[in-house]
Amino acid sequence: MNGIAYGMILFLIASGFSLIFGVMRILNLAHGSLYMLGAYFGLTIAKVSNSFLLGVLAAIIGIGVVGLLLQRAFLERLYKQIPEQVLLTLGLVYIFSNLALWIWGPFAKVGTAPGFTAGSINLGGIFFSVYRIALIFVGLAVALCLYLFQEKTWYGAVIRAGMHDKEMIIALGINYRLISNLVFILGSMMVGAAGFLGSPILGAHPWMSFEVLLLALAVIVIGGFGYVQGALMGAIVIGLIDSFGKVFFSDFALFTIYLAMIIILLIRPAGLLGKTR
Amino acid sequence: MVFRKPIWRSQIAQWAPYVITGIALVALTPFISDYFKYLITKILIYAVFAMSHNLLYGYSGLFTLGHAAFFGVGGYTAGILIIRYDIHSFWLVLPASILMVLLVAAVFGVIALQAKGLFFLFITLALGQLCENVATKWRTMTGGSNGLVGIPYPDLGLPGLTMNPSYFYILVICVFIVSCFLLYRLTHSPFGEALKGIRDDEGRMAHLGYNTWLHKYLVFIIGGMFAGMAGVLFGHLNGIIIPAHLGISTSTMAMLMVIIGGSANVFGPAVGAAAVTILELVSSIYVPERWPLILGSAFVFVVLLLRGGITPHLVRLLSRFKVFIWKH
Amino acid sequence: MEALRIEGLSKNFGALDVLKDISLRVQKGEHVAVIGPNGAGKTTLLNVISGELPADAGKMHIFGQDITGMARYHRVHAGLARSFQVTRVFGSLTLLQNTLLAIQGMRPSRFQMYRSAFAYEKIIAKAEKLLQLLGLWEKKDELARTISYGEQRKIEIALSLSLEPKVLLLDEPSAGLDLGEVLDFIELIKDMAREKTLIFAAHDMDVVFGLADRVVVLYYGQFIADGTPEEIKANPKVREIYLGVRQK
Repeated sequence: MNGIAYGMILFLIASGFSLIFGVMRILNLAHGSLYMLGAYFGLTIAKVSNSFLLGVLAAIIGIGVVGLLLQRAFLERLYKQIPEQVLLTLGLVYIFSNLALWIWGPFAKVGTAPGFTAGSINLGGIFFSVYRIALIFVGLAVALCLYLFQEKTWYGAVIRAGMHDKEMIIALGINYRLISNLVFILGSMMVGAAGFLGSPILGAHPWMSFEVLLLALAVIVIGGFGYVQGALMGAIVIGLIDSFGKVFFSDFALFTIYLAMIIILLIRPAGLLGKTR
Repeated sequence: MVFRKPIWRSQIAQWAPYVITGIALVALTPFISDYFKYLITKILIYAVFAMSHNLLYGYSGLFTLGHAAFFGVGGYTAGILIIRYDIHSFWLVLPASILMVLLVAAVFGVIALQAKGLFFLFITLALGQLCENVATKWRTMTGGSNGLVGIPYPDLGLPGLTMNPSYFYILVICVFIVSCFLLYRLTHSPFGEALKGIRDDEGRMAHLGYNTWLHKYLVFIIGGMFAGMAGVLFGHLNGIIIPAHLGISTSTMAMLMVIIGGSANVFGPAVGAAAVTILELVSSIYVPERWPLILGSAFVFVVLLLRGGITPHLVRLLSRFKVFIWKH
Repeated sequence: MEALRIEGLSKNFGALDVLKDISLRVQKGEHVAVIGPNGAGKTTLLNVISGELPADAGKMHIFGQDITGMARYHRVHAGLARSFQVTRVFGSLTLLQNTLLAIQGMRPSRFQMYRSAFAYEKIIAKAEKLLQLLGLWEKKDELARTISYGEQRKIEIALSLSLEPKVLLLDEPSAGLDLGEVLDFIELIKDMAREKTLIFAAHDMDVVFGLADRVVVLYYGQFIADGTPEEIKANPKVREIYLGVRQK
């Protein structure tokens, strides 16, 4: 059971991170769709080429491109106009879901783990899937990289500052547009990768956009947005709630997640690890 | 000084458009097919839902994605009363459902209005999803994910009158007209003006002596009640209510209708409801599987290009048309 | 009974003490200017009095009523009104609507949901009178965001005056106005605030000397001088602050 918990965590981590970076004052509700598309792209390429690695690359590059297009074509124009962003990205969700349905059909697809991670290990009497353990490591590695990027590099500092005051950054002569585009691409690539990497566990189906979006939203609400630590914390919390919820309350896992979200929003709107404005 | 018009003229001017529209729609009854009646009924119900959403969004600046919760609670309460408790009288079911919605809105309002802006959006979204979740799990009451099936037409308890599509059509027209009238009055009343002020600058309103929280709370509940009423009628119309009617997909429908129709006045969302429903109809004839694609594209199109929705453009077209007629 | 009594008021933002244990008594009908260099805490003081920011310590009373913990709207009902340095009017509403909102703020009819806002003849009459006084009646149906900044400023002040407050707080009333407009504006305020208790923060000495019969100087969170405009003009400490010249 714990295996499931950890497995879930990772996907959430990856999506969570991405959403954070996407939230550079850009609320992209189509984030869940990007996850879905990542899963689909990756699966298609992996199937055709019979290579897991290519699948990952396809997901990363493909969604990175999609993300960039979205930014350039739509989201840039709606800087600081939150309601418009919400509405436009909602529209995109409908569009992407339907496109997915059109291209890949209504039946859910499930990915397969690459050969070398198949099977499970016996640790102290409990069987853990190797793939899930691998995912844990991948997730933590990504988390570490992002954290270092955020805290230790100049770029990270600029992005953090930019979250608070974009005009100031621009006034300082930094090409914020370029940086925000890059960050958006990075975020998209991550969620695309997450989609594909998650496919052996979560699968891919055309209506998952909203589900994933809601989960990602729950993660950042609980963990706090803008910072890597927050997403990690949020993802872990959600993952644990989900798996323990499934064990003890069988049907009420989702309910508990929403409830937790509401409680946190009321008590600590910036999230458990967010910075209060 | 400036505002003295003959009283009888202004009274008639106020009532006339409603009466005329109402009579016009009712007069169509014998001339149109049952399917057309179904279509118009659906549009009018959605219109009330969308207008109630706009009361919060366009007039008060409360951007919520959980409004369908009230729509669904209305529908479910009515359905449950009729199917599970065998209460059929419309005159009991409707008030009871609205009362239920009022209670839910009262609770949700207290919770959601602790927050503003983005957080308010998230909370209302979560609350709506919570409702959808409850409806899916509570199988004994709500029929679970299959929903409540078999909701009959409302029983008005009038002797000799069995409800059929035509009479239901007329009933909905009446409800629609009354709702429009009440919403118009509300938005042009001092309370309505206060809401607009709160939308523009809540802090300034506080410094003008307004208890802004109270105003927002009241409109939250009132908007919810209208949505609930629409939900009851919706249940009667289709005979079925499902959990999705409580959640984000239905809330976004309302939002879409408001945006497409225009949020600047009371009737804009009604125009939007008509536009969306007709669009759905057309799409179901030619490309039924692509409906969400079209819907989504409509959203994107309107957000990027048609700021303010189609109503201002329609109004402009109409006035140019009038000028044209005048000249010739 | 003093119009406004502040005792031991303190406000800090983290490690920064903006207001340090200050006290002030203003009598009914006084026109008090609060001056001081930028960053001295003038706006913060007004924000704390009006309820925009909570005080960390101290008490405030309006005509004997303790307003220290009150919500903003409650203070308005206690007789306090304020205007803002950066104009805050209701941009998407007409001038008439703006004024009606303000006048209605104190009345129970603001909860009325059925009658038209324009059916309240007495209120409309008041609004008309006010807009006529400002010379803006002809523009009553124009949206507030389409009029000039100077006109918006007039509306800004008008909004707070519509509340018929006992104590009026103005934050830099002439901010953003050009030279010509300022003098007219001073006359206007003098007219409208004639019998009211007025407390205003100002930078512009024309405004200070035109309106005030008493001046208090706020310097880094404390009142260092309090007197008539002439006394303050001659005060060596004040001169030092403003002119940077050490007086022997």
